[in-house]
Amino acid sequence: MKTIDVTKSVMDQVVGFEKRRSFGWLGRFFFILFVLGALGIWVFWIAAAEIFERQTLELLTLFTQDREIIAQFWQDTMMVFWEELPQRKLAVSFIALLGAILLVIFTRKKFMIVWRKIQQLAKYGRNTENTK
Amino acid sequence: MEQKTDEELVAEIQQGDVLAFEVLVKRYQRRLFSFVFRIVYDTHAAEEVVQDALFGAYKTIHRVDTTKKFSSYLFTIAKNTAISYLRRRKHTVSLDVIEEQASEEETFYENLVEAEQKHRVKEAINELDDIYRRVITLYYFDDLSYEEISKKLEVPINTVRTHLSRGKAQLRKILAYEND
Repeated sequence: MKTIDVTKSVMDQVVGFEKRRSFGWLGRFFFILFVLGALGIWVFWIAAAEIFERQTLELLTLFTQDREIIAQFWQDTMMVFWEELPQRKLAVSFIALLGAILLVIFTRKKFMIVWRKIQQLAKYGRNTENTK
Repeated sequence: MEQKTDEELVAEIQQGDVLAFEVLVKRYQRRLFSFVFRIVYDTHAAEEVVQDALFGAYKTIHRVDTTKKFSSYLFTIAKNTAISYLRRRKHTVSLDVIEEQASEEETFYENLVEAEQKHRVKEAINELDDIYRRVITLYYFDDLSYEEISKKLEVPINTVRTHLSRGKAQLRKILAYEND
């Protein structure tokens, strides 16, 4: 019976498939990470600008006063400070940045696998070049 | 890499070692070819089916259970790919007959491989040092526990453990050497 050697053709197919799959995954990963990170930072920037414009942080200078004054006014001051904060914007920013961090944490194992695959694909490419 | 078992290689592929698949391709392509040829009776078609089967196996390799035999999984894919190929070609032979035939071939082939592997292991065990052979035989073939072997051979349990471990290592070396 005829003997065959399909190693190269199968590995070429595998490498092509793996390139599409791994780079596709990596593209989606970085896109989501970028969108979440950029959204988080952008909204935080707007919120911070608003805080500085309203001089909300000035309220905290109360805590540089004497103990008696702090004890008397800290609750009211904190309440006003809380009300003054652009809460929705800060919440959106927090959620987006938290999402980006969680994305990194939960996909780090998969990321390492994909990264290793990409290194292997590069190695296969180099080996193929050398044998030409 | 060549000395690793199928299951070890599959686990490595699942961890991103794409090139480990090359070892599996080299290990199985000829056996798959002869298996598929008996279903499609055409050299070119068999080659095409083997390629498709191997590629198909890679695409779903992340779902493979590494505690089970990879060869069975691979031959099942090859059988299904061969049947699909015949379906595409609108072969006039009844598909039930082909499926039955493929199933018989698969069982026959698996039995053959199993018998061959058993024979090789037995021969390798005979080549082991006497003390290791005795411990391995008592543990794996006579199903004795460490304690029972320890009593029978009048050696401490830890010695039994050590001999078993060294015996397995020696056995692996012998089998790997034979593979080369």
